Amino acid sequence: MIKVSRYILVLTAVLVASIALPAFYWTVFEKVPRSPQIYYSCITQDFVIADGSRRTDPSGKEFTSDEYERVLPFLYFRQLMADGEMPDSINGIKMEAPSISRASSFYRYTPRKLNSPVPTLYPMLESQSGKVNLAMPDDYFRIEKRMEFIVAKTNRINEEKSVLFTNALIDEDFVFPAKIIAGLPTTRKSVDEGYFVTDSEGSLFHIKMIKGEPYVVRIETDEKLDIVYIEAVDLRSREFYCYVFTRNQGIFVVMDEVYDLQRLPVDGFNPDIHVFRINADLFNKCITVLGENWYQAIAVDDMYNVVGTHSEEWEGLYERPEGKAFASIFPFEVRLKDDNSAFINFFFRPSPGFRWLTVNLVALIIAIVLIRRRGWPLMANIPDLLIVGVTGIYGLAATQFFPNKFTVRKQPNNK
Amino acid sequence: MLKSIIYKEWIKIRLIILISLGLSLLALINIFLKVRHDILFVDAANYWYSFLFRGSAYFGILKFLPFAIGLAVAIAQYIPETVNKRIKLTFHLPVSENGILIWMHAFGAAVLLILFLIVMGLFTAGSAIFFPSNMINPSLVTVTPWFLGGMATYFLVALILLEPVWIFRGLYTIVAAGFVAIFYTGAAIEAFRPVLPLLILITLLLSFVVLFSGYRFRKGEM
Amino acid sequence: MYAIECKNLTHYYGKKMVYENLSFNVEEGKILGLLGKNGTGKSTTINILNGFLQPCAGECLIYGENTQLLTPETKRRIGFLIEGHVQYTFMNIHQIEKFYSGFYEGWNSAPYWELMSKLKVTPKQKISSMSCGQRSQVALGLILAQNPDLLILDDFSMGLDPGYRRLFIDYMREYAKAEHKTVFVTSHIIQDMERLIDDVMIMDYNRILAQQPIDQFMNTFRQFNISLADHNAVIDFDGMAVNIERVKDKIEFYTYSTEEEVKGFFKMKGIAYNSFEEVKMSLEDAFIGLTRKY
Repeated sequence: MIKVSRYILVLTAVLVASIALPAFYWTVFEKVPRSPQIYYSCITQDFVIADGSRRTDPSGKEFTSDEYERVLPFLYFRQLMADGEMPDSINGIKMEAPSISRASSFYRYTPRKLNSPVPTLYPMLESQSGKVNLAMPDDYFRIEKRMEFIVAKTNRINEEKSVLFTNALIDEDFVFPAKIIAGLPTTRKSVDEGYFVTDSEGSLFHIKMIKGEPYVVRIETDEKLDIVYIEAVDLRSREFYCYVFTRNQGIFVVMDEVYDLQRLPVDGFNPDIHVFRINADLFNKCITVLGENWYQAIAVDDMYNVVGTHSEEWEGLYERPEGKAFASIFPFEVRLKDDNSAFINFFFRPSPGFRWLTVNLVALIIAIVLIRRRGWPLMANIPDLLIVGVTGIYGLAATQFFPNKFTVRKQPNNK
Repeated sequence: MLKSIIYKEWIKIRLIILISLGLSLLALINIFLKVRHDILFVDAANYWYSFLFRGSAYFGILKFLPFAIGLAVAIAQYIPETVNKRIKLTFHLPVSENGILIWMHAFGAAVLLILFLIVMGLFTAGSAIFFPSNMINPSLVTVTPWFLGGMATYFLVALILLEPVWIFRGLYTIVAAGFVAIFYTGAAIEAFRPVLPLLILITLLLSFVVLFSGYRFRKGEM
Repeated sequence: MYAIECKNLTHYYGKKMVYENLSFNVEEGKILGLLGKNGTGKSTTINILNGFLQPCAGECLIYGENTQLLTPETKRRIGFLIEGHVQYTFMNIHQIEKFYSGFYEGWNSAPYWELMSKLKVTPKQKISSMSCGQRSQVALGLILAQNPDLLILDDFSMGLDPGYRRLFIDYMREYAKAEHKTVFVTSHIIQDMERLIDDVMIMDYNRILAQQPIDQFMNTFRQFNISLADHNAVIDFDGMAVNIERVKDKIEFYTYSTEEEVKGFFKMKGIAYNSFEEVKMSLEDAFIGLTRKY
């Protein structure tokens, strides 16, 4: 029991050290990671890369500030207008402020959005109230064994409304409970489109409230999709309702009114680690998928046909000097927070390669020397040495913090 | 015999426990009076909204209370044993040394746990007046690490106090501070959900590490 | 039959040796006093006896059990008075009696309450607010109520004023003899100890200077005050003197030899003296004579 309690303490100390020491290391040595912005220019019909203060085309040719604004007329449309540099028409299309701004949109997905605690209560706004401004309802709904509306003031279920909506869902063969509920629970949007919901079998539904009545649509898909995340958007163009992210089947948008699923030309997207960006203008959509040390940019036209691709890769964290040094010192690290998650967890990150073996070996030798100097038998300290061998300096510190004095000390030999 | 052990431990911690219970009740009363007040002023639906979509928690003042209570109970229970090395008296009683330490510690931990469960129970009951389970569950997931941290604090401070050598007390304190800080990492509502089982497991394992200090004391480390 | 047997005790703190191969026994029914200056290992010995210290080598047995691994049954037979009369001072005298009574089947509270009735304390008064003397009576009362076979009293005289010390000693002697108890007592105040103990063990740094019945020790250990005729005389009394304290021609001569033997020795060495007298020693004098003043 006492020996066990010591090992518990040693392992706790290893855990604490593997959180604290790397955290300290990174605070001192971490450098800002590259995070380039990629645009697609309707003028050059090519990509434009903004990386910090450097603006280049894919071949690496640098743009001056003025050139840069001119090749991205939709992004710098106000500036160009002010300078009188905005062309009257591009690609034969007349340039008008309302149509430009209607077509412009920006969206960004990060894995953090997927790995976050999500609410299970949402407000169902009235989609066609006849008023100019949207209004928040006084109740919130949940979709568990059935769809229930709970009035906030009384904390009680509105039975009538709940039965009404539940029945509407049952009519569309909704299988309770819901897995994902995605909408825009705010009044600060142009129109209300309710919620996009997956049921327990993964089927996709659109649910909203029109004049107090439920409006439910079952959205048919060609194949069964493993949907992990949905995000509703409020596009002024009203082109589509929402983005749908699947585990392995890619990214889709659900087209407005017709409920067609349009697959975006992105392959190998992993929603747990990849960032997805989309930059839309009158002519093109520029899609960027970012990994830790690479990006892939895909430009599509308004019919979602690919018109250009570009990709780049740079040195990963563990290939840079500070990362290499880290991987030579620490065999692994544990983080409580991770860039790709809003949850707290013990995120275990082994250092790539085996360069840390040297430091672990040195730690092991120090541990053996300390044991011998204290006259402790080596055999009784095998588990300690194992811990030091595997966890390196964490284990060395931990075993010294909680010394192993369960063995009878030999008399000092200096008499 | 067990009655005697409990009797002495209770004499040591009863005042702290009563004060802790009083403070906890005050904190709970404060929380729910404020919820009631705010719901009257900003409307219930808006209040719910800021919890659900803005992550504003109504129970923030509970955060460090369990930590303070765990610390206070450990101090109240173990400082009197370390002054003049009085723990020698305890170890000299006709009971096995580990046994009596475990009983003392188990009693302290049990009282602390009961206190925490009472506070969490009242917190749940109070929340249920104003909010549905969809808001109470995330709230409980959010406060549980704080209370768990209170238990871990108790276990580790006991270890530190019973350790006979000052330098090691310092080293244990570094480890304890680093570990307990995990429970109080700032995070969104419900963010601890995935790590909670592991934290519960580690805290359970730490529940009896005080034996290590007891052993070192008995072997005459100094 | 021995209550305590310590065999070949060796202990170091780090590299500093406390003692090596120390052995001693305490017979049942005897009162043994362990005397020594501060730092000679009294506390170390007590800690080993009570199982709070693991010696580097050797072992102590109490009633045949290694003190590192005492069973509850044996611990029940041992009364332990910690140096400074340490007790749970956050309790009052009623609470502490209630607490201890739960652990000992043969608990006899009568002697405890008898002692308590003599203290001028209020029933609710915490032990922490009592005087040192009062606290010593509480600690003693608890041990008496426990009714152990072996009493280990660590530096019981510390902080006691003379009245309480005398009271403690007289009470303890009478009790131990009447009830046939074994007592192991340490003290660095030697005064009054001869009223209490049967056997004396005197410790010096790293060794035992004397271990024998107190009467034998007091009768055989002698002090002679000698005034030399020639204050430049060089004297070498190896084998004869245990200790010599010399100021010019005045010599304090400590020895286990008789007056005749010493005088014969002087004659043989041809050292003249002006005066030669045997001095009657108390235990304290003898202790200082044996262990030296510094």
